[in-house]
Amino acid sequence: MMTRASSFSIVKTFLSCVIFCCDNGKAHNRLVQHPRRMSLLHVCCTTVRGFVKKGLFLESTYTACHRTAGYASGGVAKDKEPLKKAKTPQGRFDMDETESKSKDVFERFPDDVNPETKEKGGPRGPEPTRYGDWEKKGRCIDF
Amino acid sequence: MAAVCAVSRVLGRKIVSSKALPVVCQTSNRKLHFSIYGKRGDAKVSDAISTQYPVVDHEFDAVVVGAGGAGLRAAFGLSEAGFNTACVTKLFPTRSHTVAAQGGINAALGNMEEDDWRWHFYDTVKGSDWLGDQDAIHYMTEQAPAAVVELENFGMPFSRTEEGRIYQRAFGGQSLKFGKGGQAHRCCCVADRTGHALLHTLYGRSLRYDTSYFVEYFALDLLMEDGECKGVIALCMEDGSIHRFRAKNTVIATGGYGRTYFSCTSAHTSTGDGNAMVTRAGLPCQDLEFVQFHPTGIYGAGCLITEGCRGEGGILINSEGERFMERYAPNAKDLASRDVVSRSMTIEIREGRGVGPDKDHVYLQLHHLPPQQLAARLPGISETAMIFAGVDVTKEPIPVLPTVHYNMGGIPTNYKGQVITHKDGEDTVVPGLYACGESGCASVHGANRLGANSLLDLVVFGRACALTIAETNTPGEKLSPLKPNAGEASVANLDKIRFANGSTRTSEIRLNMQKTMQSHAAVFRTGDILKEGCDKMDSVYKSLDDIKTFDRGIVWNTDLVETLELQNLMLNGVQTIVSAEARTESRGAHAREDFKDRVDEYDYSKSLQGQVKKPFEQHWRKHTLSYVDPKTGKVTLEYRPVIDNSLNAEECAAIPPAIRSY
Repeated sequence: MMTRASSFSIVKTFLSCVIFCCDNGKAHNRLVQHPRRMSLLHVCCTTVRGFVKKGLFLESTYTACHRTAGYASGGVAKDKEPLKKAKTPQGRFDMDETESKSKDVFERFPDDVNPETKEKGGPRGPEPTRYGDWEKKGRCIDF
Repeated sequence: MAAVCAVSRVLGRKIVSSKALPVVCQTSNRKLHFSIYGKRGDAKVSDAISTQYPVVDHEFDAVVVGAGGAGLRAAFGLSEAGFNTACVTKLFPTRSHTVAAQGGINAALGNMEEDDWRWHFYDTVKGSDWLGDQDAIHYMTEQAPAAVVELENFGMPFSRTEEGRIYQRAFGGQSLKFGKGGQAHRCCCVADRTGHALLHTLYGRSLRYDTSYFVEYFALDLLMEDGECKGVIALCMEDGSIHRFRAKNTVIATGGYGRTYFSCTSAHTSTGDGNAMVTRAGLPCQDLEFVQFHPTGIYGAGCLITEGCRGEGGILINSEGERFMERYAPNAKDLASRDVVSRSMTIEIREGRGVGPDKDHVYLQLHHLPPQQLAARLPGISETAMIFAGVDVTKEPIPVLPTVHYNMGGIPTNYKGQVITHKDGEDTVVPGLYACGESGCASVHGANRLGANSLLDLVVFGRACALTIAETNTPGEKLSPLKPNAGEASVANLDKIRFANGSTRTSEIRLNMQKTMQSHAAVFRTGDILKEGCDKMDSVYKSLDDIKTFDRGIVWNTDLVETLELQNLMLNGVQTIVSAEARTESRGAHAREDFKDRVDEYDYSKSLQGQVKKPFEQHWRKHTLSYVDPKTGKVTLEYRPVIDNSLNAEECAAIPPAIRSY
């Protein structure tokens, strides 16, 4: 879990990387003419790598200390909780795992074996060729 | 990072020369299948064509253009045989359109009942309406069981029977005992994603070999000299550089050209690039008028609605709410055969009774059926209708129109995969050029493709190209000299399009072409409609001179690539419509209202005794070869006879033509 202080330091390092890359934008025009130019991405990578290494190192030592401190004070119970995905601002993309499974039209066969035809690993749902073409979910795939 | 790679490569070479080395070190010599800056150490930069467009020259033993099912199979077949192979593709291999082929693959394995590949041969010859070359069909159906077993050995997870053999189901007009023994079960599948599994299996397998992949390189043209193909010139989309791939053998596996039509099931990338490259090289394309349609494809989306909808009681209605199929097929009504339904829909649309703002499609109505019955018999259809058509199938009808699904025609080849032309009445091989897959026309599908045969076509002929090249060449052969300014015209065309400043946008011209093809060269074909279509296509072709592009850059210029694709589509389109206009008969997928019968050298509906054989010019059991002059768009047609003998008459007797009825 990140405290506000550590998350702020990450944001700060990221912003400083972005500003650095924007300044490099002017240099990029000159770089484009050169046949063996280094792409902007490459330039960004080298700078970001440097910054991120420093930032991450600080961050990792901070959280490492925090984690060991947590273990000592009954953090075992906290680790048993399922990891929760952070909610997106709109909350629109929050989907329960079970919700999407029930919407699935075709049930899996037990052991993936079709009970009537005894086909193993075959298409789920009714026989796709029952109407003379290859049908799946109302769509004709081949005919 | 590059320095590390270079150092490891140098060290690797020194280490490998000594015998005592651990296995781990050998991997440092192996090139990654992509390289960090898009350049390889052995490529040379030259300004032989133009100083503004530096050209990178590569030399290989073989180049494969396209990385779908056929392209990948050819590429790793060649690498396996020891050839230094390059695979040039405009898409990442697993994004090729093969991934959408969800049906199965036919092979006479005999797992469900006793089966023989000769019966599969008979079914395919009959399905092609006797326009397929019987030697190529013999080759394909005989190799089919071995090809499927080979795929299964590569790791393709076919569905199995209880005993563990590959499960086969009935599909695609297959029969036993030459049509007299009832339905055959020959279609092997991988759940319902056979094409997807095939492509991923082939891609995974190909990584074992040392093929160099050039991904997102758009192939512009073939490098032809003295009628021999010496390589390919391509545009790297990532950084805008031009690359010339010199090779003694070039294999084209670029797929079909569904996007010529307004409504098609193909991806946006199915633009017939291979066919167009061959046309610009002055070589013919074969049988382009044979395009396979399906009557009920969702308007705008392009996916097909199953015939089961009509089987369960769904009806087709026009703008007046009338069930128009009653007029065209009083007995069968909506359950008439696919071509009758497609033609009826097109007639309704032409006569002004279409629906929608452009009045260019009809409705498929299912909401009069009880929703529980729909959900029970056709599970998933409400989801499909909502996603692709945006309609609630229990309340509103689905907009549908006849949709292109497959192109039977393509680059003419013999059964070995070598590209041929027809000179002085003889088939002559074009040295150095091969074609396979949907872009090649061997011709196994003839006038109509049977279901589940096209995936088989890909693997068999992809392998055939690799085998033929391995038979006639040795790896590491010296390349014949190439003119230093080869490919100049392609670069000039590229430059012209990049700075084009006319008045019509690419998307407008493309839409004009698609609408013209959909209304004139679709299912319903008559002489005057086709003639009108030919004239309209001619004017659309001329409007290409007035094109306007907006992006003047060279890095990832999709405007430029779309315009190049439009040029390719246009070449395919004009050939299709002009060939269709010239063919005055109905055969397979090419059905004409004014010439409803098949015109063969004999009338096969009667006894052959006493009949006079029609001369070659007067019957239509022949392949169309079409050439285009790229500057004017004028199409010239020639014809070539169908090959009626199988490869080995004792093993497999050729099937004499007969009337095709199911």
